[in-house]
Amino acid sequence: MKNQNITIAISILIILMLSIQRTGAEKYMGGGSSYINQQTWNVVAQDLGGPFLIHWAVPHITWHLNSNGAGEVSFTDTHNAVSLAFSEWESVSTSSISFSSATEGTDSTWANDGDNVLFWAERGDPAYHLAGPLYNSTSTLAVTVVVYNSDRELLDVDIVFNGKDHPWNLTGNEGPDIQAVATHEIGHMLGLAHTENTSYPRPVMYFAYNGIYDRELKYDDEVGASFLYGGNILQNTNLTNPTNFFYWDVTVPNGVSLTFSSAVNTLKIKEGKKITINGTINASNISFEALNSSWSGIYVSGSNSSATINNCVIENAYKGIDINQAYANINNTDFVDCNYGLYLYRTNYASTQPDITNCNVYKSSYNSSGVGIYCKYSSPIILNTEVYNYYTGIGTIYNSSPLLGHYTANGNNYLHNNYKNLHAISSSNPFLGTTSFGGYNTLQYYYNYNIIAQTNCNIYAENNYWGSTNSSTIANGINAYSGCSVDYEPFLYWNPNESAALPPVTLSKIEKSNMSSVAADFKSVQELILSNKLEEALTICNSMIVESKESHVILYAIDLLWQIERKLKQQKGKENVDLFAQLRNESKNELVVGYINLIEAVGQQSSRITSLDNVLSNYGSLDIIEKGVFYSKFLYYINEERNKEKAEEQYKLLKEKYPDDPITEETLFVLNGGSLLKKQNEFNSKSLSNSDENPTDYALLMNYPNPFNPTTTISYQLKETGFVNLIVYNSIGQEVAVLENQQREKGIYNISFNASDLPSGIYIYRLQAHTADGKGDFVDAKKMILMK
Amino acid sequence: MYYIKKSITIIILQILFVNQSITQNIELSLEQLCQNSKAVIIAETKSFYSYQSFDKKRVYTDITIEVKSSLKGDIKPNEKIKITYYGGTINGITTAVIGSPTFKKNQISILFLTEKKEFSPGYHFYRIVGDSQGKFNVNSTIIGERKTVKREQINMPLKLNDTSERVKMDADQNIEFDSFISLIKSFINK
Repeated sequence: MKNQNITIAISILIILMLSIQRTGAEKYMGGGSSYINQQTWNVVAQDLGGPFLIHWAVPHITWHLNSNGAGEVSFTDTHNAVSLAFSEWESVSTSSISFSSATEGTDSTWANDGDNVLFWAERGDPAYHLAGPLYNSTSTLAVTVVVYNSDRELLDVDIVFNGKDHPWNLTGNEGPDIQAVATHEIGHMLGLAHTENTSYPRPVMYFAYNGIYDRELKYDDEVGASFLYGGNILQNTNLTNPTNFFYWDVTVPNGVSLTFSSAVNTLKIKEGKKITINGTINASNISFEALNSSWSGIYVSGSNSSATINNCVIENAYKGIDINQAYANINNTDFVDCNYGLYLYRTNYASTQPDITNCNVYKSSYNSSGVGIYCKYSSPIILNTEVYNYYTGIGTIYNSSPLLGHYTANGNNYLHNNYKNLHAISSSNPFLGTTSFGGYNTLQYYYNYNIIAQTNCNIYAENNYWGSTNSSTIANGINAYSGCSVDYEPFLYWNPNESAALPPVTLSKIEKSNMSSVAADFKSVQELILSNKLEEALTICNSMIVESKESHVILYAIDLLWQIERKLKQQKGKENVDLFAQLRNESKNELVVGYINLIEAVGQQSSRITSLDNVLSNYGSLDIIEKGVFYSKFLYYINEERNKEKAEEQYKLLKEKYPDDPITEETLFVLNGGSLLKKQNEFNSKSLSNSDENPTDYALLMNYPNPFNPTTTISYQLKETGFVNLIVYNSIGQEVAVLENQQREKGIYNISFNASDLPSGIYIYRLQAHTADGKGDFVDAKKMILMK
Repeated sequence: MYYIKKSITIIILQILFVNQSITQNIELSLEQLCQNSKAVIIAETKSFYSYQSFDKKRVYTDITIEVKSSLKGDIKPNEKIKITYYGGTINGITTAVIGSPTFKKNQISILFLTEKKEFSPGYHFYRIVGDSQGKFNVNSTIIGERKTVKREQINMPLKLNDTSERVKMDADQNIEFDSFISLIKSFINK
């Protein structure tokens, strides 16, 4: 009786304890999350700096159940229930994990012994001792104890069910359901944490016990398992953890996007693993790093796929990013120590060519291997990008014609310290610039050649810097095989891509003059700047500005002054030097002050138009300033505000005041590159002649559109009837099409040119009209770009 | 004896699981955290020390925390105390109990502690009430000129007491520090 009283007293005490727990505490199943975003737990006492994933490196896990079973439930019944729980996880079709049961054993340790055991701890079990996993946890149903190595690979997982405090059963009606709780804990065994998804039906990996409903996996659970053991991201995913780990190949399927929140800064990928994007990836400010040695890279494949990568670092990948006929916009991103920084394949067949801007593609040290940017059937736009320490800086093969600069942007790419800075093979025509547009790239410091053109490759590369001002030295760095050409003259006399960049607007841009004719006068100054003899360069520039009577010389000296100032600012104690302010205060030459103000106005980001209008009102009486303002406003409207109507207003001002100026022609050319086809056609017609019926002069206009693929229209006008030849040549002078070879009446003509059978590249069309009076033929030629 | 055990078991089952079926998502309320704690402190995590059991199959970690201020109990400010948990990293191998509270160096937290336990003679440690539920991390950055705290690992609103009332949180589940401390003090002094 005494014993009975004691038993009752103890039982009542237990009831009271439990009832207190249950009124306020919920059943806890030990925990992690079923979804990659919610890996919010850390190892106790570990200052790891962020959440992480764990998983089994092997596809098959062996487990065994302790022979005691679950309390009063027999071993066989317990084993059956637990087996069903394992089967539920095996049934996820997008996951490859499998399980098998080892023979029954007596092991009941939750220590690291390589044996994955499930057991029900009973009173007195060490699990309940001080600092044990179930210590002070009467409301806990079970805990999962994991052991893993530094690669986050699980080595041993034990599940300890709280047998002391709960009456386990097979129905879930009178106590915790064995199968349901086991299903949840096995999720942890796989490496899943608790989900934050609170929607109904509750995922199994929701942190609270949900009765027998936890026997059946929900979609959220499957997403987690698919990611861990199939690498499949089944739904649009926004990673939120600061540091994320991919230990396996990960695939983003078609129609699914992988994005990164602003909190994410690092994604570490295991050796040899790759991220395949068949859907969309959007990444900003992320560092893609190898977990140990080199990983495979980001593979974006298919016409429905896209990659937008901004301000990222991608390092130690075999291919930093592989774009296969997909959309790609890659800006301000560093590709570091990748065998291929960017590998582009068949983007000629994508709806849009990849856009690569402000990137750095390099190896930490030169080791004569790899390609910085590899283009195969691909013609990306590459601007402001530096490539160095590769075997080949930029390699192009099979109709690959990347644009290193184009009609609205200088190239400003910097290829250096590669065995070959640029190598074009097999009908590839990289475009590096003409005197009219593009250019301003730097190719220097090569081990083999600056440029190689091999097998039907023709490269326009005017207005670039080649590391030398000596024409024969430059020629030595260029290897054009038979049937190939590299047009590298005129060239720049200074490096436009060193820290001393060009001012935002330059004399050469406004005047469209042959740079080399002016630059030759300043060769010595440029060399002084290059060799950092800035004070000497400054003295010469100042004397030119003060003493010269030729406006071109003065303005070009101001351009160089800008470069000198940029370099001076890098010197200690001269950070605040302001040569322009000094010159503006001292100079009484309106041209000098006006030009300085123009340069500074163009450099304004927020109030550029207002600043330009001020320059116009104060110095607009000077043609060069007025042209510069019109042109700068035109570029602002067309490039930044993307307002074609306002841009066209600036063109009209140029057309009205400077009808024959090359800058007016270029402005029209740029305008024609837009989408207002109808308007432009009308515009073209008007510009051909004041009267459609009665042309007063001969003219050959820029083709439209340009660049084109595969058709474009060439317009010309005849002021008299005569015999007309209109012939298209490729860049090495071979005739590729005869568009006109006949007598034509006086008038305006629009000729369509179809280049579907021709490779991408630069073409020249030449009009020759035989005049009736025999005083001489009208001849004019222009360039056009075929970009497939 | 058998019938007594059986009847008690049935009573336990009813309390446990009838209650559970309707209170599944209820956690420890703030009032219960205050009542069930022997000490409530604001403390900074200073260091960790992981060590193995004699058979080298088990790993424990002591977390040393420095008390900044005491809201309940006899632990004094500036006192250094230990919290011990199962798990830790030894020689690159990590053992962890999933769901245990986490600790980061220099992190300031509000901790609801159990009574002091003697692990071995002269060696004492504390545990946190309700594990993760009894730990609130003070956000290191001030949000909108407000000092805030966030629950450890739990992204659910915190129950205030036995009513359905919840502790006020913003959209990111941050709790205003000052009002949270006031609430804690009011429950402690109740």
